[in-house]
Amino acid sequence: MPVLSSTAPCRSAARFRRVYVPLGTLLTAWDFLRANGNEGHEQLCFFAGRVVDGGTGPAAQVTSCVLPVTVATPGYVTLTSHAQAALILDSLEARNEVPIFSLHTHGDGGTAGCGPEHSTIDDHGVALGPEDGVFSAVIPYYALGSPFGFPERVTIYERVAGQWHMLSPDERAARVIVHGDTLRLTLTPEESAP
Amino acid sequence: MERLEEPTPRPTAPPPAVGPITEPATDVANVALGAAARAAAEPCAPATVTVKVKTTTAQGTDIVATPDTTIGEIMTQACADLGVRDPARYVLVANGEVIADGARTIGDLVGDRLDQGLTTRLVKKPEAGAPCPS
Repeated sequence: MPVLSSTAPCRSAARFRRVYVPLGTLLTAWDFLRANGNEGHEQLCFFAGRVVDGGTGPAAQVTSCVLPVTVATPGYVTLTSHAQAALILDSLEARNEVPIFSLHTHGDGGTAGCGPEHSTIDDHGVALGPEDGVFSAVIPYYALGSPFGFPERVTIYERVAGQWHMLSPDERAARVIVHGDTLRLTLTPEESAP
Repeated sequence: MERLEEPTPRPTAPPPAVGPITEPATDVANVALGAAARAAAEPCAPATVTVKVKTTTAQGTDIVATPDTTIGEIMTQACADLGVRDPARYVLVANGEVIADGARTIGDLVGDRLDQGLTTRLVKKPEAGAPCPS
C-alpha cells in the first residue's frame, strides 16, 4: 500500500452563530457584482474573515472580500482556473483568514416571493472549499438593486453536514449583521453650544 | 691441508616486506570506521514522502506515502480525510500548477527533494449558474 499513513484531522463542526459584515466591504463586493450585472451577466465573489468569540458561541467577522477573475454569461459564472482558487486560498492563509461567505447574482428575483434559490450548479459550486459552516448569498437582479437591502432582500444559505439550508427571514436577520466601519462620536447640540 | 673456510654469513637487514601493507588506510577497522563516517555524512534518500494536502486554511491532512504513490492515490486518501463529498470536482494544485495526471507519482513530482515533502492544495473551480432571465 503506497499510502502508509495520514493524519485524521479533527473536523470541527463549525457553525457560526452570527456573521458580522462591515458595510464598506459589502459595498465593495456589491459594486463588483453590479458591474457584471450592468452587462447582463452573473458574477461571483467571496467574503473572508476570522472566527471571533460571539459570546454564546463562535461568530465570524468578515475582514475582506475576494474579487476573482471570472468568466460569466447571463446564466453562468465561474473562476477562470483551479490555480486561481488555490492562489486565493494561499493568500487567505497568509492573512489568517478563512472563506466565510460566497455571494453570487442571479438575473431573476426568484419565485413565490422567497428570492432566488440555489440551482444545482450553485449547490455544488459556489463555495471555495468543502467545509461546513460557510454561507452563500444569492443576490437577485444581478445586484442592480441597493446594497442596503442586504441581507433582507437576498437569499442566504448555510452549509450544514454537506447540505445547503436556506435561512428563514428571522434567522437571516438575527445571524447576518451588517455594521458600519466607523464609530464616530459627535457632540450633542447642548455640548456644542458656546 | 688447507680448507677453504666459508665465511659465516653476516646478518643483514631483512628485505623489504612484500606482504600486506599495514598503513593506517588499509587497516580494516579504520577503513570500516572511515566508511561509516562518510556514509553518515551523506544524507540518505528517505523511503517515504510527506504530502501535505490542504483545502481551505482551516483544513489539511499530512499523508505519508512511498515515492511511487500516484497522485490519484493521494487524492483518494485526501478526499477521505477531509470529508470531500464530490471528489470528481477537485484537483490537486502544487506550486501554482494543476497536477492533472492522476497516474503521475509523487517521486516524479518532488525529484530528489524527497525529504522536503510536497505541499498541495485540493481545490475546485467555484461556479454558479441559474436559468437565463426571460
